[in-house]
Parts: sequence; structure tokens; C-alpha cells
Amino acid sequence: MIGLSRTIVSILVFGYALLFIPIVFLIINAFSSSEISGVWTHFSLKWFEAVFEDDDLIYATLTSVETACISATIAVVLGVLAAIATVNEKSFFGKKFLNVAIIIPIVVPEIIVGFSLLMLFIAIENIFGFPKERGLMTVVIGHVMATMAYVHMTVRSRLLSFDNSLEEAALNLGAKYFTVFWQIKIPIIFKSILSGWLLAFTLSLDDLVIASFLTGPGSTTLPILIFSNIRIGITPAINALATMFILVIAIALTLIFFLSKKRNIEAFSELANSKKHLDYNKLQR
Amino acid sequence: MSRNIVIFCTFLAMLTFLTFRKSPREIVNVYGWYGIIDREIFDEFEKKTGIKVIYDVYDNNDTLEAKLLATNSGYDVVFPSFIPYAARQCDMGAYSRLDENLIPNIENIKGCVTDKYKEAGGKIEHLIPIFWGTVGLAYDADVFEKVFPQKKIDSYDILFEPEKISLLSKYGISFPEEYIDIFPQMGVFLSIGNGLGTRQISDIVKYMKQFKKIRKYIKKFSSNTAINDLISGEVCIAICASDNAWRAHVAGMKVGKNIKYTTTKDFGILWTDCVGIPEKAPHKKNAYKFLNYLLDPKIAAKITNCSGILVNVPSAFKMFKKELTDDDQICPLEKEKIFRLMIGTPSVTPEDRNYERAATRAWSKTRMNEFSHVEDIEE
Repeated sequence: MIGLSRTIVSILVFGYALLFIPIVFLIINAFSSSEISGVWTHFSLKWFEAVFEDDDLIYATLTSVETACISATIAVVLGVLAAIATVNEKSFFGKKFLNVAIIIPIVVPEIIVGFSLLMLFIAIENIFGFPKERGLMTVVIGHVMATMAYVHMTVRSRLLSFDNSLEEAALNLGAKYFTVFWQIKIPIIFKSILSGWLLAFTLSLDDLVIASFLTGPGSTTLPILIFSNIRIGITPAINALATMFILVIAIALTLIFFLSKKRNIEAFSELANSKKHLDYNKLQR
Repeated sequence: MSRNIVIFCTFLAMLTFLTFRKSPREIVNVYGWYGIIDREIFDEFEKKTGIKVIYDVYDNNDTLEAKLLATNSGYDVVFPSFIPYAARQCDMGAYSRLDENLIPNIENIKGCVTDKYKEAGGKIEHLIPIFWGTVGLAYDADVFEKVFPQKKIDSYDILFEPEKISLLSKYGISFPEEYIDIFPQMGVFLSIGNGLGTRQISDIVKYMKQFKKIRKYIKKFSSNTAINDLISGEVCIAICASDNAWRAHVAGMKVGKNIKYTTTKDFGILWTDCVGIPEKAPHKKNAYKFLNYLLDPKIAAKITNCSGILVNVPSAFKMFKKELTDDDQICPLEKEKIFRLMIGTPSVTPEDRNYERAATRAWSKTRMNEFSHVEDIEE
């Protein structure tokens, strides 16, 4: 263990403080009984009850989670396929262009993505009469467009270090390409796919700008609801909801941490065993 | 590993399809401000007519405008603010002409506020003025008592005179985001024109010269966060709408803050929020039923009592709760009081538009604390 100098420790403390103090403050305020978030009166759990009584809030949360799930899933499918295509050694028409085009939504400001999509939907509607009005579907399309690039990037970076000889070996042994794809490629890059999905999910859950252009009747998402709340004062109910979100995420993260630790150990011992076996086989020969 | 993938995929499929919700057959899509109409009122409407209200919220009029002007918004009932939004959207043909036979309760809105609305050029056959209130000063009475003992706020001098505003500045002062909420008051203070100022570009320079003197005492420019700011103590005085001032007053009482509101003796400005049916509303029949329902005096009074926003149904005034009617600044129900309030008029002529543009630019320069170009505005 390297001894840490005082400067490094203080920078570390400052960094963690910057990350966690706002969250701690948010959680503390969820337990206040005051009407307005950020003013402490005395301890109360009434805002947690208020969250469950507020139909609008629950409905908006469900809409947000639904949108995020659907758009993250679609974004993962498209992003993975795009990553495989762009990493592939085979050259095809417009490959370089595709490589750049996928990253464009990251660079272009969200507000422009949202507005241009709105214009596009209106133009399409005028020509084909579809989509009839904006709603969940248009928001999902907008989010897929914005998040696909992130999935593409995470998966692509994993694929770049992918050992092609594994695939070749499988093909050599008579596996069909489809089998290789499902049995070899996907399991190996699965972690990057999962992290891509989570990234897309988070970004979609978070988005206000694109959604506010593309929502229609009955598809108010949580960020839009919270933002409209500002005018009449944000109540600690929002803090309470955020606290519950944090709690769920914390539990999920802890579970994943312990599970993956266990699995890592298992995988490790498996690997060691097989290696021993391999060495033994070699010696036998 | 492949089993994990199967589990993962099933999980996704479950999440995706579990949450698909069936929409009921009879609906009306309403788009409005957050927290103005209580859910209870929608539930009652559903019980009465079997039509489900789907209520979506927006955070400002610009969002609403973007949706409305983008041809088919899908909404059946919307609540735009009259000046300047509803007026210009109406000219662009965003709202369908209302069939008065389908809204028998439209008789209920006859009164002072509606007269004022018509006088200012509001088209009642397209948009009904349903909510109203005033714009004034909301302030922390305790702070004010400390700074100016035994004095009443009765004019905007405390904000526009550098000597007075400097005393308040350490408690925080918030100015509105848009020029339209502050230039008329400045006009009155400088005794230029009648209540709503003239629309002369040369006047803007005079306003700016005064703003230059007080700019350094202003802490923030924000129209939407007045309630949070006043209660958390970030500012001690803010220019805001009367319904927000009422909310701040109610919430403030619970945390021991005494938030008061005044329209001042020399200046009261009336605002109205309208309700209308967009041209391409998909459920027009239900929308009419909903409009008629909202204008029922009993329901109207209930809306006011829940959220503190005043409805424009004079026969409902006597059903307002006592705490509200006791405050004659927030709730000026007498005819003479309403009559004295001023209402802005939409810009029609090209000169008006030019003025609007110059004023917007001048105000954004003020916000950025750039006064070097004051003289340029003149031409």
C-alpha cells in the first residue's frame, strides 16, 4: 500500500464531498415536514406517503421508466448491430460515414435533436398521416436516437479488443455463424451490452429537453412534471421520490457487487482448474 | 452465460410489456399548468360523464405554443395566458371557434374581468378568460419591518429608488425574467404615459437609465421560482402573480414566514389565463363538456379554494373561502377594484412589434448588466 500524502487525501475528500453532499442534503430534506423543499422544520415521513397518494407523480414515474426501458432496449439492439458492423474488418459502402454519423447525436445539442425530430414528425404526418399525434412512441424514437450512440461506443470499445480467433475456432469446428454470434460473441461482450443498456436507460430517464418537444397527451415524463412543479414551489415529495430512487439503486448496486464478486471467484477457480487440466494434458502427451 | 441472457431478455420483455396501459375509450386531453386544477375535480367529472381527463403539464407558455403551432398537438383543452401568447396564437388560427350552444355556462363569466378582457382585444368566441389575478409585490413582511419600521409598501419606489433598494439588497431582490412584468411599473414610477406606459422606443432609454442605477442591488432575475425563493429566504421581495403569492403565503405560514402581497396603491395590473379548444382537437365533443363543467359556479369555486387561483365566474365569488377573501390585495373582488386594474393589450401594429423587440433586447442587456449601448436603442 502506498502512503497517501496529505494533499492527495484532501483532494480525495473534496471530490467525494462534491459528489455526495448534494445527495445527502436532498435526502435530509425529504424528511422535513415543510411545504417547500429546502426549508427544514421538523422530522416527518408525510412526504413519503404523499408520493404514493399523488397519482400524477406515480403516473409520470411509470411513464418515464416505461419510456426508458423500451428506448434502452431498442437502442441496445441497434447500437450493438452498428458496433459489430463498424468494427468488422469487411469494408462496405459508407462505412466511414456510418462511423461518424452514429456519433453525431452526442455532439449535436439535445435541443436541436428534439426540435428537428419534431419538425420531421410533422412533415411525415403531413405526407403519410402517421404518426397521428405525438406520444410515448415519438419520445421513444427521440431517446433511441440520442442514446444509441452511447451504446455503440461502449460496445465498440469492447469489440475492438475482441479476439477474433475465438470466432474463427468455433467456425472451424463447424458452428454456424448464427450460433457463433449467440454462443460466443454475445456472451463475451455481454458486460458491455449490459452497461450500454444501463447507460441508455439512465440517459433516457434523465432527459427533459427532447421529451418536452416530443410528448403528447398522456405521456408527461417525470422530469417534465418536476420542472413544471417549479412554478408553484417544489415540495419535499420530489425529494422523497428521489430518496426512494437512490435507495433502489443503492440496493441494486450492492447486490450486483456481491453477486459479481462471488461469480468472479467462481470463474477464477474454474479458469485455474481448466488451466491445470490443460497443463496436465500437455504433460501427458 | 446463455441462461443469463435469457433471464435478462425475459426481464426486459416483462418490463416493457407489463407497463403498457390500456387507454379508456372516452377521454379528454387537457394541457395546463401544474397544480392549478385539483385531481378531485377531474375525478368528479369522470364520475358525472364517464369521460376520463388526461392532464398533462407544461412549465411555460412557450412549450405550449410550440406544441400548438406544430399542427396536430393532440390536446383538446389548453390554458394559454392572454398576453402576449393567446392573443397571437388566436390570430394564427390555433383555436377553433367555440359553439356557445354547447357551453350554456358561458353566461356565468359575464362581469368586470370579461369586460376588461374584451376591451383589451380578447376574442371571447375563441378563448374564454377563465382565470385571473394581479401582478404585484410579494415580500417578507418581517424583513420589511426590520428595514423600514412602521412603513407600508404602497408603491414601487422601494425597488426603483437607489437609496431604498440598497437597504433591502442584502436580503435579496428578485426581478422578473420578462420586460413585460416590469416596464409598466417603471413607466408609472417615472410618470411616463398612462398606466401601461407608452409604446415609444425613446422611453426605453429612460427606463434603462433608471435600471442602470439599481442593477447592482438585484440578486436574480426569475419569474418561476418566486415561491421557493421567498420561503427559503433567498430573496425578501419578488414581483409575482397573485396566485403564486397566495401559495407562498400559505406555505410560508407553516414554516414561520410572513409573506405578504400588495398591488401597491398606484399600480395594479390584471392578467388573465384563457381556456380554449385547439383547431384540430381530436375529442371536441368531450372538450365542450369539460369546458362547461369548469364554468359551473360550484366547480369554479372549488378550483379557487383548492389552489388559490381566482376563477372568472362572478357567481362563484361568494363561495370562495374566507382566508382568501379576507386578503383584499390577493382577492380584489369588488367591482371598483377590478375596474381600476390595468390590462395589457396585444401588439398589433408593426410599430408595436418593433417596440416589443427593442424592449426585449434592452431588458436582456439589463439582466446581463450591460449598459454601454443604452444610447444605441434610440435609433
